[in-house]
Amino acid sequence: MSSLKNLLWTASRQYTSLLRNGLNVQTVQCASLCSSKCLRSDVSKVNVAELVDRTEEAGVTKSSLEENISDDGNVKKTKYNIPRMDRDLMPGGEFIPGEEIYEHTVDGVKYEDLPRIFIKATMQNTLASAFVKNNGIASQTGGLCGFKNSKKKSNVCGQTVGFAIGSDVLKKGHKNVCVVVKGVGAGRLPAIKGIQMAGLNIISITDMTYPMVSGRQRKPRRV
Amino acid sequence: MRSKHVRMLARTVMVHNNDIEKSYNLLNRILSNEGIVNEAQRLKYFEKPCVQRNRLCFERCRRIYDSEMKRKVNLLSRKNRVDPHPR
Repeated sequence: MSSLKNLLWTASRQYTSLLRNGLNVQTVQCASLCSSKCLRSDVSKVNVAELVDRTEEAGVTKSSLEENISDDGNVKKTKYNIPRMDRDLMPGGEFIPGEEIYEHTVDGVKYEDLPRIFIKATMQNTLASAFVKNNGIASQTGGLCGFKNSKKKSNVCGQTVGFAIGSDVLKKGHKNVCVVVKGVGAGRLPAIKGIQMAGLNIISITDMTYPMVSGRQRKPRRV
Repeated sequence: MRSKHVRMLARTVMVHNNDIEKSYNLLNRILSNEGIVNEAQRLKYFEKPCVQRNRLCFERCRRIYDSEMKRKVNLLSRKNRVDPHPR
């Protein structure tokens, strides 16, 4: 019994410390005393009268504690709604999508089911491929567009690759498209512009550059 | 939010009215703030341990200098200060 008294004392102390800091009753309840470690053992055997006496000593109002404990002596579990973030206050504003994107439809097509164009812009080349629900539609590279050797790493090559894949996707009957970009190369922005020039509507741009190294990289150049 | 799409949505920027450049600039700003562009550039070649040590030291010093400078500028440019020459 002495250990239970100690537990109760720590619980009431937590409450008082929270209330003394000028917090509301709601925020104190949000701190979820029910799930705290000190109250996890045998809550059903708690004597309510004893608990209330302690709180009066500490100067806490009765009601705040009694709300959590029902008549049977068991601790109620209450759910609290987490307030949603205000869209206008977020750093990106309306440009950054949230959870609502899954209900978003473009011309009757869900956002998930839209065709995606993956662009890989490396230092040497630009590659692009289009997918609808993980099924490949088309793919284009700098070599297929007629560029050779060092011309493949120019931004003109990137734009032609973008234009080629855009017209390929348009032939299959898709008008709206999402773009996923990978890598920091010369053909990064021109490829996106080329897709737009082909006549496609770009709905979102995603970046997927995850710089990762397996093993040891090459020796730095001596210039 | 579905867990498999989190990686995808983490760096997604929507395009309004086919205005690419606005949203692309926003994406670039996010990337440079997070240091992804620098990291991709750095991982191109192998970084020797002595170079790495020097770089980390430099970054640490720079962070301290920046924060101190910011504090100083804020102190000087604060608006609701007491008038030093009251009549």
